Amino acid sequence: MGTVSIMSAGPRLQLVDAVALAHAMTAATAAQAGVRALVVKGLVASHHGIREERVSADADVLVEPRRYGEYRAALEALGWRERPEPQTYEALLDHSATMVHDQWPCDIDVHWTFPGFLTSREDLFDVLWARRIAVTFAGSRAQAADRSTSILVATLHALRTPSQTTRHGREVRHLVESVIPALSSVEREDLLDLARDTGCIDTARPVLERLAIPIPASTPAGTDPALDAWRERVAGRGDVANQWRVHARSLPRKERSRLALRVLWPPEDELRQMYPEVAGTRRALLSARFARLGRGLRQMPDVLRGRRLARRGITDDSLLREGDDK
Amino acid sequence: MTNPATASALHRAQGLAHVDHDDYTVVLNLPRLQEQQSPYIFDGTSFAIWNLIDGTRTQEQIAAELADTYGAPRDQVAPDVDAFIAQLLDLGLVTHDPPSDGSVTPVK
Repeated sequence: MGTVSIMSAGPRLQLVDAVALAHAMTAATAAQAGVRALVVKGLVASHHGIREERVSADADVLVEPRRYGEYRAALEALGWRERPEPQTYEALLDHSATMVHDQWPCDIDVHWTFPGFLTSREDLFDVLWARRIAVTFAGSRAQAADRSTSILVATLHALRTPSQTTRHGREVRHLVESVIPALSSVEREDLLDLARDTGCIDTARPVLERLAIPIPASTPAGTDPALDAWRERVAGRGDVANQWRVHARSLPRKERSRLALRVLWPPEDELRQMYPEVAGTRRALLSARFARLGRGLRQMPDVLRGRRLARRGITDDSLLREGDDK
Repeated sequence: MTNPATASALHRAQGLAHVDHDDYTVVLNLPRLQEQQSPYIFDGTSFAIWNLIDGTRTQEQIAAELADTYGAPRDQVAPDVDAFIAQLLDLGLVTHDPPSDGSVTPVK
């Protein structure tokens, strides 16, 4: 037996271990800062059996919105910092910040709200907090989202960015094919009650319709701009071009052209930040610019489809019927 | 003469987060995150010692068991064990104080 010393895990820290510990850490940090926070998604979804087993890449936490700054400062005091995003894209970051740490291989997504819940962020948090449960992660108890919350969060997350990854399609189909059919009548009513309380009956309608219980009639287009924007985004497959279009509509007219120019032709430093893999030559960068514009153009049919369905007051449910071909 | 500091059983500190595997454990000191921002990994001999810290064994007993396990002279093993446990105590990962609920440290 030789000398035994204490080793920081450092580069030997495996992702699966880091994520479990990060779940415990996010909760402990909130408790130490006196901020209410719910661990959500990831291992919470696995705990509730609403997604197929896979290794999570991050920990997600929803904090009470009024005290988001305090929670973030508490994380920063522990060495976590927000992952830098190209300035142009910051406008699209409307619900969470991704925190990273030099000694951790996983991220922490700190949410102050979740897209798709159309109630106010403060009311949303209070409703979800009132339903919280205790879950043990890495031997440490944390306040976590309950099962109905987790089902709605998973639903909305998958619907809003179906083009981002085929996994979202698989996950929402797992919900409607395996999770929803196994719910008891009490659980179905609870899910609907929660959707009503958090303003997501229309945004999560494609999944809620599978509950096989009466749900309120669809809200017509033009009633709520946030709902119109959601429908446009979902039917537009959550493509980046669609996200920009929806965001631009929220801006004063004179700011739209400035945004359009920046989105279509971002500054060189931002482009390099977006595509760090691109070689440093001007020719390579120009090529990356045109490839990016080409991808945007190819998203136009989705953008138009999103606009068309939103105008008809339809929340697109095509993701639930697809195979894994996209 | 018995050292009173080493005569009482060693406990893992309360409030640690830990992920346990068959051959290693990763531990995060949640109560002291400000100073200890990232986890520790215990494998090999450190894993063997960590597993013996279960609220029932004293430091001397841990050294004795480890000496038996490795087939090494006790007086050769003890200084290494003492040094390692001193580090654990210094970092607040273990304590001589029993948990406030009176339970022994759970072992996987």
